[in-house]
Amino acid sequence: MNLLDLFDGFTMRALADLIAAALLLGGLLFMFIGSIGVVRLPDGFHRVHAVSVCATLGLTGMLLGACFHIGSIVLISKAAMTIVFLFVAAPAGSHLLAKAAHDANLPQWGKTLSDELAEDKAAFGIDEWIGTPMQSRSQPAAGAEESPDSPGPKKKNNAA
Amino acid sequence: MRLLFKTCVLLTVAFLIASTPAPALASGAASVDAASPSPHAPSVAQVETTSTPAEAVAAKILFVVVDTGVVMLVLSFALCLMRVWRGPTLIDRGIATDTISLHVVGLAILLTISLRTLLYFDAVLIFAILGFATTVAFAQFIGRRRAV
Repeated sequence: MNLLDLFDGFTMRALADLIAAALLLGGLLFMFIGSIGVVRLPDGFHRVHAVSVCATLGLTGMLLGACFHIGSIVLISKAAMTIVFLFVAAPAGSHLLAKAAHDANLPQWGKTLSDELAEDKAAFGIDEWIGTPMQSRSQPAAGAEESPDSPGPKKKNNAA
Repeated sequence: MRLLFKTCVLLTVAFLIASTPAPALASGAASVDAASPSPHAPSVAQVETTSTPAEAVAAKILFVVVDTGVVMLVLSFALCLMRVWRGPTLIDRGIATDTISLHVVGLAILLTISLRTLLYFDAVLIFAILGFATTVAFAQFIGRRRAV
């Protein structure tokens, strides 16, 4: 079946290959930009952004290129599953890493404008509350404000 | 100890670089002429015996892009490896290894496109899940440790 009559034999397959090449090139470009960001950005909190660029735009472009090249339904369903998983998992992983870095007092870039999480931690005594296990989080949350240096909630993480 | 760790990382990644893109490059050059199907590609029965000139040009463009992409991914792999090598803190090393797992996923996608099989596409989802699990474990470790 001839989609366009540009010249004889320009079939759907050639068009699909060209679209696949374009999508693949875009994805590869975003992967490269992301890794340049991992190297060049000044701070751990900044570098997390670059990882998200790689995970969402780069891999999505490459997976769509594979879908256009091999058009079978098996690959398309697996690629859709992977894209959905990546779009859910990449922000979650970046958020976990950034939160762990902030809890561990990672030194920030000198030109960082504001750090509202540190203000909240200082104001509400959340710093006591972070390392405690999930079951005992309900009761020492109230007590942490009144007596910040009570030995109760912070035993396990200092031992580790 | 740290030097030993870094040497192990370098050896592993050098092995990955040496082993992964080699079949993609070899068979990418081999399957440009689509008339002779390569022995690795029987599972997707899309190897056409009659191909128009436009299809041949498009396939050639695609395989040039794939071969360029392998080189590009290995280059950015090396950039991330540089960040693993001289990342000042543990967080930077975790971020760089997360990016490296994404690059391995990209290499598996390129292998799928180049060989035209579905054999290696299962590795894509598995590597994505493994990379996410690694990131979560790393974040848990740093969060327990409370120090970078």
